[in-house]
Amino acid sequence: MAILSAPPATRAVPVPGPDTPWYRRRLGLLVGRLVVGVAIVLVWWLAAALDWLPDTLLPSPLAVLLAFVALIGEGAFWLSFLRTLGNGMAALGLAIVVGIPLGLVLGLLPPVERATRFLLDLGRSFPVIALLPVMILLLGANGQMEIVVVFLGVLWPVLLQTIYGSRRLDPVVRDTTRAYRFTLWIRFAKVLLPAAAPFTMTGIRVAGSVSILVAMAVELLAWTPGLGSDLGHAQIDERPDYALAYLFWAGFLGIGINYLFQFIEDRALIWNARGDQGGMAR
Amino acid sequence: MNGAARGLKSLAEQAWLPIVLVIVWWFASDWWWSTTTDSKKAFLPPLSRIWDAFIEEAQSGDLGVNFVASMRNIALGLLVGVVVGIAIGTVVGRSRAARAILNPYLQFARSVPQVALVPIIIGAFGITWVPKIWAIAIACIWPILLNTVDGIRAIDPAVRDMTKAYRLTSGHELFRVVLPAALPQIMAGIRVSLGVAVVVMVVSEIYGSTEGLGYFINYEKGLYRGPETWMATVLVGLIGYGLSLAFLVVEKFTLRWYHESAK
Repeated sequence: MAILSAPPATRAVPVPGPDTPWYRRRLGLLVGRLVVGVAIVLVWWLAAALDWLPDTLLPSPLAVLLAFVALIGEGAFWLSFLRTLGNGMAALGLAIVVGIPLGLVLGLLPPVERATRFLLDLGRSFPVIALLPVMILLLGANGQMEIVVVFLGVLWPVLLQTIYGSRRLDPVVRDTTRAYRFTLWIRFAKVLLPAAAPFTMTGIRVAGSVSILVAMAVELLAWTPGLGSDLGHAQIDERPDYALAYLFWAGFLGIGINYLFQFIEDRALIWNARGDQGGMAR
Repeated sequence: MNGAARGLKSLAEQAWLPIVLVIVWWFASDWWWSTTTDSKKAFLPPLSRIWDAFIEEAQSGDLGVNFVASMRNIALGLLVGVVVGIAIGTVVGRSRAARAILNPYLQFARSVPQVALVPIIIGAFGITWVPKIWAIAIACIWPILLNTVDGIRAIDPAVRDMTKAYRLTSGHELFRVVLPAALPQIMAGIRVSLGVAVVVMVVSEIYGSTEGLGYFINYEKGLYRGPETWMATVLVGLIGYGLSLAFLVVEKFTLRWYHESAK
């Protein structure tokens, strides 16, 4: 397959010439982004100063910045930060342990995959946070319950991407492994797993972002300790500057996790010609 | 084998397991419930009781009122998100400079856990239904906006040259060329946003509300009524599934020219 497809386009390093538009130059882009950033802060500051929106929604940007910085020095903040991150990652780990083997098996057995298709579609579109109240009744409002709910939310991207990846195994490769009578274990570990891995990794990356989102939602509604409940407390204590500071930290956490997983994906899957299908299920 | 028979066979292949599972759930949960001494059994009601709760609440009209409130919030929030997302996405997508400059800001906005906005918005504007629509709309904007930008960026340059050569008016170009060309990608964004809308709807109604299915679930949970809580939870799940199924039909219909051209 790889021979048939076009060679990956070598990415030319752009050399700025006299024709290069300003936004393609490094300095031009940087200045442009800075100007937009300053404009956003200015509009925000104006909106806060002139009370366009209630104070409880939009405090001044300076107050939020101060709160954002003040949080760095607070041990309680880092504890919450690690709790949210830890619960999210624990749930993601569970989803990987359950989702990958299950996905490979379902991908290998088309009749089973067809029979479970409705369940998978239902699970994927189930707003998992709706399960929170019954989970509180069954398990209580604690960290364990949070991990279970997050797990139920992040299982689907991992599972569905793995099914998709293992279904795409090249028939020639499959026949070859059959002809050589490789043992089941070798077929599984050396053929199927590497073939499905690019798709699974995409699923894991998506699940990483979702895990933080669901963890914060659970913390917000069940008051289990973490960034979500800290944000809720700040709101109730009428400290919107801290509430927004938590929101920004959560945003950086989300973007950080996404970059981290992208980095791992790029390093771990060198054999994957990403350009072919981008590793994304359709 | 003709088409109808093949369709029936495929349906049977996909339907047998869910049907078996529901039947097993119905009888096994009844049996388990009547024999167990587990202290949590009130919170794990048998399917027959969940069904009874559904009939009862549906007949009393409670369920209908809350269902309508939730659907209204989703529909209006998504509508605002679609209009604003496509409008901003079109402006940004058509300018290379705007795309390059705004990219980090858009990536950050998308990475913020949108459900965390719920307490801030509800805290500022109260627990009526209008703030919930803002919360849903703000969460729905980003997938649509980013997909619109991507869809417009991916338009073949030859198409742009063609519209210039034919001197199409800008309105004509936008509504007959640019937006239709980006529509498959835009629809993919709306599909993501639909799922987001359901989640934010539930979160906002559990957080602070006087109506809606999320409120109903949380209210029944507060009364420790297992069957009612489970019933509404399962219902919200089925609604999420039903909405994504309905959207699939809408997508197939609006993009039929696209799928036909791919054949």
